[in-house]
Amino acid sequence: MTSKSFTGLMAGAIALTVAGAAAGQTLTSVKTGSAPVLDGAGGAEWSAAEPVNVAVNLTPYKPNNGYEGITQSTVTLRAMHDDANLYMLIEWDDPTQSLARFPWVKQADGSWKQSKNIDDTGHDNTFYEDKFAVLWDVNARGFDKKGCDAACHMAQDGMVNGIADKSPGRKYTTRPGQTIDMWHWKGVRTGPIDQIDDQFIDDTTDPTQNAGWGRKGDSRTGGGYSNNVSEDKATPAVMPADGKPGAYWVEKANAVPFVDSFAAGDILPGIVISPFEGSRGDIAAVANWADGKWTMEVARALVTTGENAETQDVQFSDLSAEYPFGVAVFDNSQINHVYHEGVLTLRFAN
Amino acid sequence: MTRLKQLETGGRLAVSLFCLTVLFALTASILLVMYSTASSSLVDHEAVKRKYAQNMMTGAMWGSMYEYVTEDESIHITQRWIDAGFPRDLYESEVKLIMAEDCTNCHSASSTMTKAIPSIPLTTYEEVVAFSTQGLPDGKLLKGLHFHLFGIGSALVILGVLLAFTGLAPLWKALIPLAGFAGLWLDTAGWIAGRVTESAAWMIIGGGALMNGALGAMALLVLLDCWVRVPLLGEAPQAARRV
Repeated sequence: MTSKSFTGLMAGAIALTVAGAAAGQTLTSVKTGSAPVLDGAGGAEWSAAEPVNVAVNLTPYKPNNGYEGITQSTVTLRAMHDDANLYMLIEWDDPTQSLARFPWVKQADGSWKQSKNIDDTGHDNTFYEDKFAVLWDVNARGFDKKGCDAACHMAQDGMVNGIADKSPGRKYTTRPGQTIDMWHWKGVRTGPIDQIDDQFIDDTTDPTQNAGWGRKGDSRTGGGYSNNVSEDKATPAVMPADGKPGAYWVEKANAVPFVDSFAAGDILPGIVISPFEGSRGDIAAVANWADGKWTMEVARALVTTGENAETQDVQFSDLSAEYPFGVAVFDNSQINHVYHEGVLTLRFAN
Repeated sequence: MTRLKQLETGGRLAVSLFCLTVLFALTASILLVMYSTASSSLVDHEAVKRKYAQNMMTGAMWGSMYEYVTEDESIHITQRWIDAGFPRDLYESEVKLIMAEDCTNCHSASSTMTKAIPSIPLTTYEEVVAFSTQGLPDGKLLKGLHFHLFGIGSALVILGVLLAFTGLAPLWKALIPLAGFAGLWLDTAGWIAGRVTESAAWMIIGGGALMNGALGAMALLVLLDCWVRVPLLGEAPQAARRV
């Protein structure tokens, strides 16, 4: 090897090292004349869209009651658009499909117990659901450089922003008026009704104003999910109309008041779900899990017009602009997520 | 005198692997320096000055931690605070917020993140000041000196002895190891001097070049001398004899 080629090799390795640590990846949305069918199958209709593979391998904390979820995964993203909508095909590796979110189980003595395994931060990583999140910059300081990290504020010695908090961290923006759009797919609460929970993050740091700090749901006019708990918290409030045990969710339209005719060991849903109406239901998504992988197809209007859309939603109104975003995988975990550093960018091809 | 070529194959193989290891380590150390200073140049005086002869705080913010810094203005504010002698009020009104925004998620004794660095907390005024004084902080300096002097000193001795068994002219057998040790001392002296003068960056660059050049030259010469006849080493082929 000549000294020149060795120098070239070294320079290339150095450039890759430095660039790989700092630069993000770009997802290019291709124009399509026919909208993909949202069936959670992916397939040939996405063949024109160039995939981007994103390695996620960081977690914010280590639950003290055991976390058997993944600590790394690969997310494959594809994007297409037409004149009205953005479509995304999102695939990620997850060896287990997790649906048993706080299920009710009838005990041998006839009582009912909701399965939970809460860690010392107040969160569950055992009886929960798979989730996926996409965060889009609306106008948050630093997001275009740091990605989701711009919204992440970890606790120090039990304090977040000077407030005692047992949570390992909170999400909020650092300036008034700055927001981040959050597409939060929830495998049990929104997956069965083919929606993503359209949320956003603002600068709220007062838990008395909002228990989730800066993390909030978009404006809604109806629908949503609620815990399936009776007033005395001793039993489920409702059950599926067919009276069969074993489901982990029940759709509100298909729920009837709970009547206990079940056997010990029977399972009833811990959650009642219905489609979000209004801005919170802006995003359609169909997901399927098979062979250790989630495949999700997403559609959202390029420009949304619902209540507070300008602050709660990213608006893909300029197809020559670039849109910073980040992704995270939740494996049967309430808040512990597997994420990447830096920022991803969506751009639109003509 | 016994030559390396006269060793059995196993002996020459062991010596060669050691030399290759040294060359690989040298490559890695060069990459590490460039990565930690976020520089694409091998000799970047400004980057070396920031890392060793200014303060670790803004050196890191401009360097390996740059991707976590929200905006350059945060580094300028921190530098102004350092230049002003660490005033408490500016820390409370500006620097503390910058640390919270860009640093303390990982730089906290209680951080639980995958990339947590609890050994370098930046959550109090005292911690931030300690990391912002000119030159390497005490702990980092002593740890660096310890590993650098022991590790590289040992490698220089081993390679210097091996070089003595090559066909190289006696003058070079003395000069190259001497240059290596001179570079090592100059480099580490530069680390210490960096706490009082920015000119120390030149000592570090010069010392590093001398040290790494000598290490690389010795490793390469010894490696070649094990297997091939190198004209400059001046060994007569008939002198080779198995022992």
